[in-house]
Amino acid sequence: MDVLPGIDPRAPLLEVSDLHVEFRTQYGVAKAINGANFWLSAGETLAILGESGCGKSVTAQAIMGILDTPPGYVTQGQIKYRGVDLLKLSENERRKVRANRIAMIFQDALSALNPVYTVGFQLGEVFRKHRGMSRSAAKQRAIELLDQVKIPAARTRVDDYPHQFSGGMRQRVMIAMALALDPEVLIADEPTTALDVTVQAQIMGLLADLQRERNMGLILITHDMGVVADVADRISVMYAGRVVEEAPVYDIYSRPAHPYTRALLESIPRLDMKGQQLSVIRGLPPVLTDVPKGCAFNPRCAYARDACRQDPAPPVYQVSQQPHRTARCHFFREVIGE
Amino acid sequence: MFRYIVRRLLQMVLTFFGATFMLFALVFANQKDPIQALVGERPVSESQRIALTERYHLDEGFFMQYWYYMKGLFTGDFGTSMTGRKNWEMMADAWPVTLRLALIAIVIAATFSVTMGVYSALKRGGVFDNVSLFITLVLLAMPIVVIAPLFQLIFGIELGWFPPTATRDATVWQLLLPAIVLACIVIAPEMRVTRTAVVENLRADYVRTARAKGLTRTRVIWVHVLRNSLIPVVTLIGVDLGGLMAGAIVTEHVFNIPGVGFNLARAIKTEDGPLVVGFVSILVILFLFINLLVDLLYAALDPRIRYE
Repeated sequence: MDVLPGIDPRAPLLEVSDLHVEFRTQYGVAKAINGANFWLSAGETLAILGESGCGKSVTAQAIMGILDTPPGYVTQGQIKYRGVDLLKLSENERRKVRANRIAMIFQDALSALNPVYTVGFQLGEVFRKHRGMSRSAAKQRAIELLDQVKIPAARTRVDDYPHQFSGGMRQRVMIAMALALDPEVLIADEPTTALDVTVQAQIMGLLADLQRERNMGLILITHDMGVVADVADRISVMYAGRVVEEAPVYDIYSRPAHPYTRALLESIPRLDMKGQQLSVIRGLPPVLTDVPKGCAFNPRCAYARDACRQDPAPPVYQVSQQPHRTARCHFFREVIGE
Repeated sequence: MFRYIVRRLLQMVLTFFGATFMLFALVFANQKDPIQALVGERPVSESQRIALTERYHLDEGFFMQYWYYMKGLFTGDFGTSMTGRKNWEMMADAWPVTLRLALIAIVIAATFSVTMGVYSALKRGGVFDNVSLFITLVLLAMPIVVIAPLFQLIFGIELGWFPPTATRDATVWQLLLPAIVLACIVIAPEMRVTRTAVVENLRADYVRTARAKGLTRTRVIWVHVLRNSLIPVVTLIGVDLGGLMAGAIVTEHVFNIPGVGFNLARAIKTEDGPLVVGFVSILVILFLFINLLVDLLYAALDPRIRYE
């Protein structure tokens, strides 16, 4: 494996600070991410939670360096992997980080796999291009990988095309592909959204097993609070391109510190609330070309006051030291105290 | 797969009979006085007229003539041209020339349109994209009867880069300019289709996956995107081959190439029914086979398509 210059094994595994991403479209500049901060340690699962369009997938793509440019640009911030700022690397160095150190799996495995090549080809490609293996050696490794993700009859299935697999099996292929080169960080962008519930559980279980075996850092991007509660260690809640709250999973569920998190939790249907009206968050997520002044959540917030409607946006408040948790709300004490 | 091919072949037999029957009817309807057309301005004596009428069954009805023709065809006799030469002899001379011409044209057209289409797609909205769009539109707007003499004049005679006409053996070098002319009529649509397909595929999810795998941009485009983009292009190239055959009639005439188009044009002018039907029958068969080949290739390019 190529050695990255300046890499420090004792530095945090992944550290994203003050990340800004914007999309320059003909309709104006959409500020998709406006200062995202979070970190990830080895063996840990961080869930990034939020509605569609809040910037969670864009964050993942920015970390991978696979944003479509144009129109997407990282305009500010740092993405540090073991102390090395990925944004400062050349395209070629950056390319070698992908798959080798940071890998990613996507939401819809059918469209995420190339329909005209066999899964064996697509898996083997990783070994051939990154490790210089021969076609036959790469195929052998592909079979081993399919075995590891528990695809039955891997030896024959390696020559099948993606459309010949079921949804769950396809996602296993994606996972195998991402883990091929033993990356230290895995980003899973809504890995189970396109699957039915029983298969979801199997895939999450598989991910958890593989993560434990390899002591891998996992970033789980999702809008499914149920999935998060099961597997995540910590949660970052995103809203309109900012991390509005960050806390260990238990704390966030029991005592949310941001009105948005609170509203999200209240909107989960519960069995003991049978017959009552389901609570919803009023209004719509902001249009990214026209984010509200001050706190982006203020038009939908029950706690909003004048301070919330004026720039600058609420800073990152330290909610507690031990455990470490933050929130971007002027009135987090009020929210948490109720 | 096997059953599919058999079924297609059976369909081809029907199509072949239908096409040749129509063709025969058209040629038959067009005949006024083929004997006079054959000898030109000179007077024809009564005895010659009787002999020729006898030989070509000209006094018998349309269906009988078709019957005689088909009977000949299936016993290996392609008939005799009104010029007295055996049809198959003339075809054996003409077909290799035209096939070579069409093949060179297809290679030129495919190479140009695919590379330029991909490049346009990658730099869409840029100078190259717009200039190539303009040029291809101009080429598309010009009929081959204009392009052929124009290119012959400019590149063959004025600049002298290419030989302006071909000789009897029609070497590759002599066929290059006419092939470029032929290619011009199909480059525009092939390039636009390539461009559109690549643009569409560049946005596909699997491209993001390929990039996330740490593949180089070159590999993502030429291995992952291109293979998917080629599916519609291959179909178009197959269909275009028919267009090239039609275009060859004019091109071969202009460049004096002794191929199918050249002979066909002459046969139509001299009302040489047997020769027209002979050439076009082979043309029909060729076209049908190319279409079958394209459909099979389609399945080879896209594994989601399976015939049964």
